[in-house]
Amino acid sequence: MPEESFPIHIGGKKYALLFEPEDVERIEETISLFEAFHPHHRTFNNATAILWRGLRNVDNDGKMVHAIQQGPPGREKAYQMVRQFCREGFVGPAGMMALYESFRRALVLSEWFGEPEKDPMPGKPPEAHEKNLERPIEKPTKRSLSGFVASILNPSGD
Amino acid sequence: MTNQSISGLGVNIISGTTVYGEVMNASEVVNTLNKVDTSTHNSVGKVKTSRPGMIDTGELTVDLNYCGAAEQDALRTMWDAQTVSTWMIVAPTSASGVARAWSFSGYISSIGTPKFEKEGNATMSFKVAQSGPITVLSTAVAGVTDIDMTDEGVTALTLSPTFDAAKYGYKVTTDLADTGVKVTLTYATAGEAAYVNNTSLATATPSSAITLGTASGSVIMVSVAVYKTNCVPKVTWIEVTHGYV
Repeated sequence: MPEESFPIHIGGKKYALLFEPEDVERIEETISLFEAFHPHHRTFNNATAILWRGLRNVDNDGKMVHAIQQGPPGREKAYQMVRQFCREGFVGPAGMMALYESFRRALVLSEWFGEPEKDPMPGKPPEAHEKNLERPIEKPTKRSLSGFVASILNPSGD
Repeated sequence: MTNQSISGLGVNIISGTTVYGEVMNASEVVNTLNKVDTSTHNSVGKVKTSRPGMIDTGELTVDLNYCGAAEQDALRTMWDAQTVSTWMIVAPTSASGVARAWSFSGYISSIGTPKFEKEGNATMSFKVAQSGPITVLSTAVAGVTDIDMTDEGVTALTLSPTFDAAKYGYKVTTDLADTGVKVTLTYATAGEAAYVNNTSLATATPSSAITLGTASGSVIMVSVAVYKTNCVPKVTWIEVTHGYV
């Protein structure tokens, strides 16, 4: 599987998750990707929309192609696959959480979401960096707030 | 109150391992037992008597919608070659149907060119002369345990309804960009052999791509048949529509 895809197994078959711009566009016809990750929006319906557009198979030429047809009939297949994934080896809602975690990782690999670099040496204190330096917390004054508002209203300063 | 009648809808006609689609009518094959007269002048009460003689074999008449399918055109080739093959009339294979097939050897005794009427479908008819005894089969094959379909590549298509061993008809609608479909069957019972569009197909192996009609909305019928010696074959039809119109 190419590096920008994330592997996923459904029904004993290996697939990959990969999100191209047109996939995200189609997903967001159903729900914004940012909203979709809120626990309240982790529904079968939304998971179906994401899996349908992102699930990939490798064809005989080694090219990654959609695993499910992208026309309207494909939605039912995607829904069946979401249900299958969620009941395969997971207890209760853990399947849905695992599925969303797979989506998240694939979106990171597909460069839609960011992910902070992991600390190479766990436990090591963070290196001195401007953003890590302790600064006294300044209380916002009426003057500083009015300056902030003025900068928004008139960014050029004219 | 009801009765136990079953519908005649859904019969399949098979020759060898070739399933004929578009069947409109399949006649009965009537066998007649000849009577050998054993009457004599001294028959008591002047009643004619007889004993069973030889069997007069019958003829199967089939009417089809002609659509230029390879197996339809091959009928004339079989007639030309006087090919004797095993013919089978398979009773409607539905959940409410019965597992029965009538098998006999025969040859095409009569075939017409397709009939074209200005207000009607193109049709063709042929007759099969029975050349051997009829065997009634009543043990059904186990059949396939799953049918998967993809486009000409590896993108899954959606079978509607979802696969169920007790269902014998499905619909699939491809995407507009698709040019063909592939079928993958799963079956495991010893001695069974499966055919897709009359071509042998091993279990868990995709078929070659079956070409779709070019026009959006055009339909092709794909047959899935599972055979086993001395068993009633299971025939499933998949209606494939090109494009979701």
